[in-house]
Amino acid sequence: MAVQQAPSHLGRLVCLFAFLLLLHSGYSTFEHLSYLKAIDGHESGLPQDIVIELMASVAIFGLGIVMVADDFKEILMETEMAKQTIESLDARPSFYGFSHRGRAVFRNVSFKK
Amino acid sequence: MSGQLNPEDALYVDMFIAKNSQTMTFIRSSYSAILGLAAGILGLTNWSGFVFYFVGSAFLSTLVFLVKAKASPGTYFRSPFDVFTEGVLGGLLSYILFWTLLYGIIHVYD
Repeated sequence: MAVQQAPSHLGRLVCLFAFLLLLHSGYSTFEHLSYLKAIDGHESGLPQDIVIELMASVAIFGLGIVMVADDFKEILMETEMAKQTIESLDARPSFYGFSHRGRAVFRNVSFKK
Repeated sequence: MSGQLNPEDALYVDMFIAKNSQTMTFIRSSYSAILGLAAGILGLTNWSGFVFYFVGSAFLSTLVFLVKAKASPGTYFRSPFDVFTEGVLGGLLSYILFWTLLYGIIHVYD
């Protein structure tokens, strides 16, 4: 029932791309702050392009993670039962019979030793 | 065998309910780590960081609602609103962890 799903390679690629964007914007922020320190400027918000890059990365990451995660299963018993065959239901342990006709039919059979 | 049968038991597949909430937890915890990284890079402090987390979670919920649950969460969760609430507070701790980590790396120890 709980089969392992094949991983989505496209989703992983999207995540990798988003991670590179995140890494780059982080490094850019670091550079920007060191630059401000070098010219003795005071910090007053990040440059617009870094913020936009960061937000794009976060948005793309959301998409990537949603693609990588397994699909939801339909939880209604009705839809699950509709997929199963009658043979698999009949073969349940509850339906095993041990007092069948074999006892009467093979009563006189003797095994050779 | 004992007592009455609970009609709820026959209505849902327990294994799939558990599987769905596991998937939801995976999505939430991964994304809260990413949100934490972003908040740290932005250098958010105080309440703005928490506001950022909840706005980001709302974005993710919408994404899951539209893409994963195909706009009908009732077929995958017992109460349809679970898709918006499940795991939000659980992800908050890993969010704070990554938020403080990146804030420290970029804005404090430079």
